[in-house]
Amino acid sequence: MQHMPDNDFDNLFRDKFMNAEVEPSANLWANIEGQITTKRKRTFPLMWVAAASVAVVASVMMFTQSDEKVYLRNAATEVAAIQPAIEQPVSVVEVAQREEEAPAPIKVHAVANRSLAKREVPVAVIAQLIEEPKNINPSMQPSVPNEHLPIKRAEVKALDVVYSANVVPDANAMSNNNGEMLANLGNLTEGDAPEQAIEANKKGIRNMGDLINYVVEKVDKREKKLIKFNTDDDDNSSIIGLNIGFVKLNKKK
Amino acid sequence: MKVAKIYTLDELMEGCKAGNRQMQEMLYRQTASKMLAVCMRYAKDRMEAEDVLQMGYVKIFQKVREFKGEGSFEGWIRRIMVNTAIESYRKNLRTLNVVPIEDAYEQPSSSFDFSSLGMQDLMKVIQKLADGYRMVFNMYVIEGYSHKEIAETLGITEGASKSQLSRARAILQQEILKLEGFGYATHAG
Repeated sequence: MQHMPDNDFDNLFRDKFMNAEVEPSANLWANIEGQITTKRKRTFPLMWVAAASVAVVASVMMFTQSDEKVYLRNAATEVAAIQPAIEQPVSVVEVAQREEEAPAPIKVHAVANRSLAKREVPVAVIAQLIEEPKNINPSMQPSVPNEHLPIKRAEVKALDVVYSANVVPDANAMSNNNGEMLANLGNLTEGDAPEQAIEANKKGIRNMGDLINYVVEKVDKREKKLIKFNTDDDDNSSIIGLNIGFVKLNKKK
Repeated sequence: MKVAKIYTLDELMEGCKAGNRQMQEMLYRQTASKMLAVCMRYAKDRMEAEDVLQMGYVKIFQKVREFKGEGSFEGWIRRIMVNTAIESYRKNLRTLNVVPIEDAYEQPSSSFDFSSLGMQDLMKVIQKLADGYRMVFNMYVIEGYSHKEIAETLGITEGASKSQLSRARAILQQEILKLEGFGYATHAG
């Protein structure tokens, strides 16, 4: 019988347990495997499916109802050229002076003459002229940003005859130009849509957000889509654009 | 003899980092029995130990990418097991059973014949200890924690850690003496 120091006692235990092994139950690996598998498995995102079907239904409804507003389709500079003429009832002399600065002096005379002669050009002509581009526009409408206010007939009516005479020839020339411009725009926008589609396809459809973007791309040809997701981040696609008529959201701009 | 190719632990570690299920299973097959022995020391019984083992491996597979190669991979696995066991103990912290010590200090220690005792016998003895004693004894004697570390980990004072350790030793010695006596008696038949 002798006293055993704590250290020796501890060492004896440590040695015994150093390489101790106890065989685990056979089914334990299956449990572990099940646990690490269920954590990885993702349930199919029902919310995404719901969002996608809403997007499809809404866009179909939207394009079956064609009560779209019609806007003048002039470029900003052209509008600027017309606007001062409309808003300031100028005398014939002033117009003539202004036109002299322009490179076509002959035309100026014509304008002056005609304005004197045809003092009573009916307002209806202007209305007609303004309506002309309306007829051309609707097809291009969705793809061009709506930056201008629509010009209503009421606004035009307020003009006096002198002024309207001045505008007539200009407007004529312009409407011709517009025809070309609009044709160009038409070409541009037609070329645009496939480009966007290609851009979307380049990245491939990696998640639900991509899929919805792709479907919406096919159905909604406007620049501001019915719904648009940012799919840069791996997992969490976030809405960056929304356009349901009265609700518009676009985080890009 | 196992027929399947034996991978080194480092190879298995790389496989686990890549999320390879086969490599994960092989790592488990190669290390689980050692790790269960660790868990058994901290647990009251085998069932509790296997629960801890399962939690520990799930943690290992989730965290394996964080292993940067400081120390051995097996040491890292063992540390996770011990931490899981301590966590589990703290989570269902049972009240410390106050065990009557029966003048353990007075009793002279005999020279133990450990060779006649198997690891399993010692395991049973350790498992019989009150939870707090078992924790301190395992952490200090087998894992080599300092009293300061034990105090911080278990939320007790250093003094409590020291006194629980010496009580644990005393109880273990008593139990082993009993076991040796019983052992000879029962093994004879």
